[in-house]
Amino acid sequence: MELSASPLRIESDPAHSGKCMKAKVDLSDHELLRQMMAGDEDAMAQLYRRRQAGVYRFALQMSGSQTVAEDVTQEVFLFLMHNGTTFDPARGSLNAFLLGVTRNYVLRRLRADQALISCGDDFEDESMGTAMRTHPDDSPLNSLTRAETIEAVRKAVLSLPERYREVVILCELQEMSYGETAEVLGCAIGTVRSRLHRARALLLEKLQPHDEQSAAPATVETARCFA
Amino acid sequence: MNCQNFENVVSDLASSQIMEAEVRELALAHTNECVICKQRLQHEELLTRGLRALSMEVQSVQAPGDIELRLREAFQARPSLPPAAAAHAQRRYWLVAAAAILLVVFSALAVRWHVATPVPYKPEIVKTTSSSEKESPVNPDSATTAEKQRPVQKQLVANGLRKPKPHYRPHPAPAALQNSAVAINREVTTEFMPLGYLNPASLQDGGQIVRIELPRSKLASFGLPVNMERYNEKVKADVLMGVDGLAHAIRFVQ
Repeated sequence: MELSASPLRIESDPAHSGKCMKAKVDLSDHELLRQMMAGDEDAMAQLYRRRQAGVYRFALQMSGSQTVAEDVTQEVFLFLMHNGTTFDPARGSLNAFLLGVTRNYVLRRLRADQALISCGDDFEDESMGTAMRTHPDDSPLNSLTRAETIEAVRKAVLSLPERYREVVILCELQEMSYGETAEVLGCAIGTVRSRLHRARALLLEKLQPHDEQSAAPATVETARCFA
Repeated sequence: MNCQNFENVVSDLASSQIMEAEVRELALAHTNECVICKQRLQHEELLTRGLRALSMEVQSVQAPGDIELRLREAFQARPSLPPAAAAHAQRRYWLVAAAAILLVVFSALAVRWHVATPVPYKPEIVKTTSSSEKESPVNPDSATTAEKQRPVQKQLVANGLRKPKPHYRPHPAPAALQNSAVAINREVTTEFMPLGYLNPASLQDGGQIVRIELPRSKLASFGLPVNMERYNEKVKADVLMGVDGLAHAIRFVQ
């Protein structure tokens, strides 16, 4: 039979590949990585499908650019293909390892791209100032306002300095614990807490309604002294 | 709770983070008393809602499917190590490790063998009865003693002594000489004991062993026991002389 004559054809058989993938679903990240480094393409695919969303979202939220996020996601998994042996399970999870690599690639890309750096601490947008005026009402009538709020928060997060942005994204948007975030960033948990506190203060400052900002500049000054 | 303490916990309070129930109660009680802190908590809660809304918004976002295809192509094209090659590489690693261990072991054995192997030398034993043989000073004490006692009775010339150790432990050359002397004369001897500083270079070109007699009391100066009943008797000793004419070691003969 032709299928049994060539192992390559067996590997490319969708049914066979599906069975292999199903068998790999229950494997741990580390085991998948080990198999991937031994040349198992299905293990690589399974690992990618399991971890790509987190990597892509983190890169997207850090950069604000889909192009950058796609490039970085690809680079991260290429890095894993060639340098997977550098992962040490004793030092943390593979997810934290991947996000740490993602962070490095994104920061390298952002530093190379001066246009993105220009939207720094002084980033202003009209929609950001109105975000705090919206009421937390889940009524369908407020759907447009809710979308505006989300957009304003997204822009405010994107305008944060990198070290605060990454903490907000990991802790608030990716809903990781302080410990996991510290693992990704390679810093102490206390540092994560203090950066998150400062980041939230900056976000509040950016999302403050413009009329309130102009009416009470002293509040802004106080907020800047949190760190 | 005051406003400063409230500021420390307001983020956790607004994010519904795990915190001590007592602190939470105190913080909420503080918002009833302080209008500014109450407003601050409301702002934090609004921020938390905004961030959660954004989180929900992007939760379903995934990387485009073509990335996986490109990664698969790259995976197939990469110069990967097949399992057999990986096993071969691992086997080679263990072979190298084993070779390194063997090298260390053999080096240690070689060093040990070099230290323990007797240095080949051919002692030439010459019996001399003349007491007028030239006698070199040993060291200040031994030399004077030797002169007083006219000690030379028998002289063993040992050519080929080389590289003696500063610490005059059982050295190959003297040990061999000792064995031959015992075999010839059936004498019981002590080990050679160093006399002061020993320069190994002075024994490279040869040396002499000179038989002398000493008062038995001299045994005490070398830390050996002295039989007080035979205190006045003489005891034989061999002095190892270098080509520099200095005495380097001594042993006692019975």
